[in-house]
Amino acid sequence: MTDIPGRVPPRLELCPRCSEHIYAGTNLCPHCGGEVPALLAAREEAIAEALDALQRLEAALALS
Amino acid sequence: MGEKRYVDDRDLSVCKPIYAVWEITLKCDLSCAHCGSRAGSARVEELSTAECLDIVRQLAAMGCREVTIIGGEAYLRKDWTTIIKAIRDAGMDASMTTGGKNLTEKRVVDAARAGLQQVSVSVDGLEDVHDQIRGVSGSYAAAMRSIALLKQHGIKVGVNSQINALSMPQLPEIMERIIAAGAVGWQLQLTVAMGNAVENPELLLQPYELLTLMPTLAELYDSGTARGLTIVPGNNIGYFGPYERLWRGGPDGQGHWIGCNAGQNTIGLEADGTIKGCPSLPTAEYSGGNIRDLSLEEIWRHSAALRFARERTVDDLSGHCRTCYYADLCRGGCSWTTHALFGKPGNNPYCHYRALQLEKRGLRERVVKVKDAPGLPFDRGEFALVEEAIDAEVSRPMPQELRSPRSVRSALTVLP
Repeated sequence: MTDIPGRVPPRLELCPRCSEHIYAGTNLCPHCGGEVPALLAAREEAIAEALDALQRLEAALALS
Repeated sequence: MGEKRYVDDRDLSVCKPIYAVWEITLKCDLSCAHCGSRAGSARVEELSTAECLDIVRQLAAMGCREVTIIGGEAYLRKDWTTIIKAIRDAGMDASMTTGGKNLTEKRVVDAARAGLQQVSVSVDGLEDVHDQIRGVSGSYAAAMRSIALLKQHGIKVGVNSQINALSMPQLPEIMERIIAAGAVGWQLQLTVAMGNAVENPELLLQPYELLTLMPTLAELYDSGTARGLTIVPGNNIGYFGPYERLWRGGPDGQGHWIGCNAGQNTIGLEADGTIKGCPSLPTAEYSGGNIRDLSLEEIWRHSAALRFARERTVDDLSGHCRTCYYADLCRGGCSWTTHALFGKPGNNPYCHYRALQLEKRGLRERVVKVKDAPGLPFDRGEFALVEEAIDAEVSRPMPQELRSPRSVRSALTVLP
């Protein structure tokens, strides 16, 4: 049977502040009013800091 | 096993019936107050064994991966294990939904031997409520016995429950009982205003009661998961809001409701060969044709009644759903739930996100029956939607004596 084209729905993301579902590319969260790009950047920075701290901790433990 | 019904983006890009739910007979040994198909005695001219085996062949050829047999009560059909074996021989998974009233050990053994892999047993309350809703004394005990028997004979067993005014307060205790009995999955679904449920409108939850229900379900989800019970939402549980990730997030937390799948990757079959996009939809408005007149592929491909969800757009929505932030994705949630109430899909008050939005504005919604159903399988009445102040002083009548009339349908059928 030849294919009948289907609809692949858009995948939503979670607002970094309120965790409600939002469309990809949203600038202002319609649920909490958060500025999504800025919140994402802040989250990336926090993750990088946490990873850095973890690496330093592991290095310190390896030396002890 | 039991997971082949779930679809990914590759499945969604092509409309093919990956998951089939098949009512193989309307004959039933229960008399449920919420039964949409008003099951009891068999339909006129149910499919023969040869016709059933040909359907199995056609489903497999179209790419179907899992078939769930239902009724009525599927095991009341003499050739039910022949059908199960044919499904397995064709390379598809076989599962069943049952009330379990007369699911004897012999039947379980026969089904296991035929290749039945998974069974969902209906448990709609503790003993008092379950027996009242199911209309037969002893049906709760039989359901719990069925769970034990299925587990004993190596068939994966889950439970499905209706959520309504009587069962909602009992959900935590139901969960305790089914975990103790050995269930590993629990599918929950709101009772819908179809068939016998139209005669029992006080049984239906009111949309604003989702504000109480959903936090309760979230607590049960966490508690159940920690104890090996997976709670699976039916298609009319949702949508979005704070708990969507629990219901549909999946292992990576990225999943969510993506709209009604009827006629896209899901197909429903009635015992007389009527084909629908979803087994629960009203027959009169969603029959795409009969397998005795056309091939399954012809019906699937060309019937407008099966294409409706493939072609639905925001323009087909109404009420709060039309202006909702999620309109383009959600498209009004479960088509069955809404059509049963209002005669068309696309304006679904049974939505947690919608109830929360209204609550912020001091509002709530309530459904009120305005017209009875004619009394046929998969029929519907008519309901009005009332929007009112959230603290409106309107009494909430509780079900007293439940009704499960069969008179009209029984007059049209012959006993097999």
